[in-house]
Formats: sequence, C-alpha cells, structure tokens
Amino acid sequence: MRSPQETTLLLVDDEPELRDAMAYEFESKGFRVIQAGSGTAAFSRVENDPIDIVISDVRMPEGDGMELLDRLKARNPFSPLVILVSGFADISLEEAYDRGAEAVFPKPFDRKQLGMMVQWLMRPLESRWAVRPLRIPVDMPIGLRFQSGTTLQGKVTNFGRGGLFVALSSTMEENPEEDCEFHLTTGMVEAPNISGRARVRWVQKGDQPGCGLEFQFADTSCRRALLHFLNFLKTRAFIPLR
Amino acid sequence: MERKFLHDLSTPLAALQMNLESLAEEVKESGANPEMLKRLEKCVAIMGRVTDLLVARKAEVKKEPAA
Repeated sequence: MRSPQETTLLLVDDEPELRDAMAYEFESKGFRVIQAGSGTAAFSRVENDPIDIVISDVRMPEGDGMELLDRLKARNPFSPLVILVSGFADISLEEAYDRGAEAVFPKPFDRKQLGMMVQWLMRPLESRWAVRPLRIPVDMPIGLRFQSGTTLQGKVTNFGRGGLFVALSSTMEENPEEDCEFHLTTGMVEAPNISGRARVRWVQKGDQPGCGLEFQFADTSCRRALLHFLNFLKTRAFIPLR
Repeated sequence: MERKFLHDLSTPLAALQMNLESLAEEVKESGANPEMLKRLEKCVAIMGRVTDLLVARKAEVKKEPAA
C-alpha cells in the first residue's frame, strides 16, 4: 500500500473555504495536496502532475465535476481515482458510478469517512478486496426508545452482520433482552434514515458505556437499505464489541 | 428555491464542520486548555446537530417533486 507521502490528492471546489479545510486535513496526514477552483483547471493539473486521487465538487461554474469525471475517465479509467462530493441532487449515485466515480459523498460529509475512503482507494484492488475486517468504525447518531418510555441518544460506532454497537454517554439502565425501537441517521444519500426494532443483547459499563443491539425488524425500504449496507461492510462480527 | 438554498448551505457547513473537528482534535492531542477543549467539543456537537437537520431536510425535499 502506498504511503500518504507518496500520494498526491487534487482537491477541486469553487469554494476556497472547503478546499482549504480539506487541504489542511490531508496535508496534516502527510499527503501531497494540490488545489484547483474548477473542473477545467483541475484537468490541466492532471495533465501536468502525477495525481493519484481527485476529490471534486460536482456543481462548479467553470467545468463541473461530471464533465471533469468524463474527461479523466476517457483519458485513463484507472488513474486518477475520483471521489465526487455532491451538494444536493446534483447527480444520481447510479449515474456517478456508471460514469466512473470511485466514490460519492454528500455535503456536508463526515471527514473521517472521507479519510477512510482515501485510505481505502490507496490500496491496490487485489489487497482492497482481500480484506474482511472484523469491524468497520462508523459514527452515526442513533435514537433508542424502550417499551418503558425511556429514550436514549447514542452513536453507532460499529456494525456487525446482525446488529450494531451503540456508544452511550452513560451506562444504560435497561437490561439485556429488552426490545427497543431504533432510529439511525446514516448520512448516506441513498438511505439517510433507517428505523426498526432491535433487542439489547448486552450492556457495556465502565469508561465506554454502550450496548450491543441485534436487529429484529425493519420495514421493506429500511430492510433493503440495511442489507445493502451490511453487504458492503461484510464484517466478521455478528454484533461487534465496541 | 429551497433545493438551491440547501445546496448552497452545504458547502460552508462542510467547511465549518471540517475546521471545527480538526481544531478540536488538535487541542485534544496537545493536552492544552481543557476548558477550551470542552467548549470546542460543544461546538462540534452543535455543528453535528445542524448537519443532521440539514441532512434530514434534504431527504424530505428530495422526496418532493422538483418544481
């Protein structure tokens, strides 16, 4: 796997504030970062510099992100890799992936997830697909409502094949085997919210309070989204520990 | 109209969120000024709520037929 120092990112956005914030983030991790304010400027940078990954906005006045994607992939489909960052309804996911984007993020995006995606794309395909992680860290807000009327807010930090781990700010009073309704905010364009029922399998106390939930029920659209998501993650854990 | 507004709001919010989170992480790593870190972490949490509201509204508007 290539190191950040050996990787050049091209950040493309007509808003300098966001470009600067992303540049700061990636430069502090050791990446070589180049910036461009439009799709047209970005393409000429790619022709003159060895760029590994392009992170581009979609809607820009001078040469939008989709046009840039088309030009880059017509030039060489394998390099540079392209991550699109979409403001709102600029593109459909299907179209973006079909036209060659390696990843699509909605704005505002989770910087850790964007960083993880860059790390993931830095791996050669073979090693990327050979990894079956025990757990994949995520950071998604979740609300729980128990039959007793208690409501709790937490963060999902990991998914397993059959459930998830919820980090809480304090130890929960509810006991294992209690059922609750959950409402998960995924932040994903295709399924921003997933609701359903889950059963508490265990409660974690101490410095990192939380609980392990097993999915029990979700309606058709939530079930589909969840299965799609879990199929992507393919984690080994059934319910992850922390 | 609202679609454009939500779109236009997304970029400065993304920039604000990235800057705030990086800053909070750096203050935490430096170990300096716990009170400042506490306030920064509050800002990050509030920012997270604003982002959640925006994401939820985008999802609602997306369901509506485009004007």
